[in-house]
Amino acid sequence: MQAPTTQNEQNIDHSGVPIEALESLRLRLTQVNKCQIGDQVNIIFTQLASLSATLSTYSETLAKTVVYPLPDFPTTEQESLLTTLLRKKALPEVNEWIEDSKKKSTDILLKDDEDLTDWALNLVINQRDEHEFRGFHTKKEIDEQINEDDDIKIKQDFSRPKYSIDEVLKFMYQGSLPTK
Amino acid sequence: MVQQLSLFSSISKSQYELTKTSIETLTGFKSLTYQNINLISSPKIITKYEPNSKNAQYEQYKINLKAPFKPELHRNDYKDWILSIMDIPSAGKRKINTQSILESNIQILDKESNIDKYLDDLGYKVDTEYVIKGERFFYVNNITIEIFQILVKTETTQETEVKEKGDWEPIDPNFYIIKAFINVEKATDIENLQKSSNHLLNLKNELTGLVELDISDRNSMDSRIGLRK
Repeated sequence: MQAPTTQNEQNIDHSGVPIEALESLRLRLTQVNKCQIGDQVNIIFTQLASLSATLSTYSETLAKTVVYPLPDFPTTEQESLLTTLLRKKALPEVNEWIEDSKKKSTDILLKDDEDLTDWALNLVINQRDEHEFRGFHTKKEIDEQINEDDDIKIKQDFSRPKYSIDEVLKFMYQGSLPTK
Repeated sequence: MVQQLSLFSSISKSQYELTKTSIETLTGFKSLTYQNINLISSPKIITKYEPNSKNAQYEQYKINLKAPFKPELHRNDYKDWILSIMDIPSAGKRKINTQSILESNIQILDKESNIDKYLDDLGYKVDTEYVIKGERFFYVNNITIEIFQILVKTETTQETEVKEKGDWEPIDPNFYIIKAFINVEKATDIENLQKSSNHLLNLKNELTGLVELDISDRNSMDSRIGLRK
């Protein structure tokens, strides 16, 4: 790490090497050690966590908040801030993150879904095989080969009465029945 | 004497169970089975009708007798009877049969006597014997609904199978008669007659599509001795 280019090969031309820049970098890097990086990372994480918590706490208010510039807002000087604040769509960068995470999550779900679909399909097929939805017989009846002639016949009754009501009443009151 | 308001219909055997269940559901009660033996008797001497004679106003009726049917008994074994004489249903444009019925209980106390002798004393003799087997339902507003078949003694034509008492067979095994009726105590109770007629017509509407109750031909319910016919 400590200027390896200068130490290693003697016969190489070092004129192109930005020695001064490297030197200053070396100095600065010596100040940074592993522990410090860890601390910094922790601080960043803490900050991010607090930011996330704040955002989620005020998410309702923030979702309804409408930003608009007042007349005395220095539009020219603060153009970038203004455009950022007034931006309705997410930044392309942010969009990428969203798309990326969506893709990842969809991929996972799709994979699960395929298994689920397979399971459901098999279940439906099995269940359908167990039941017979056509005809007037249960699978049990078909398996046992029930004779259809034993069934109760539901049929239209076209038979005509032998005697009309009046003829029957006549018999009840007078005792005479027409011979048929 | 009661005024009987009635409507009739007939159903085929295939409709029987459905109709029975439907009426049971409508009335909310299980049906009661009943079977009666019925006798129709006519006068032995029929008065000749002569125009402008004294007996021009005189009318002879058949007498109907009924008793709870027991298959093992002969008609002369029954001791308790209900005697009824029925007038021809009222004429006119009507939607419901209205018929006067006179009924009385007959109890034969003398062991030697029987219904044939009793009728003989009245000057009557039995013409026809039949059995009614059916189900009876009671509905609100005093409506009684009966589904029945009429059975007659089979003529034992086959000599090899002579049955002493004969078998009772339905005159039409594939059909049942339905009768819906209300008895009104007095023929003069116009208000009650009107009300009861409406109750029967409501029942008729209620059962439309299942059973078509209708008025019958009044001549078929005429039990007069048909001298003038």
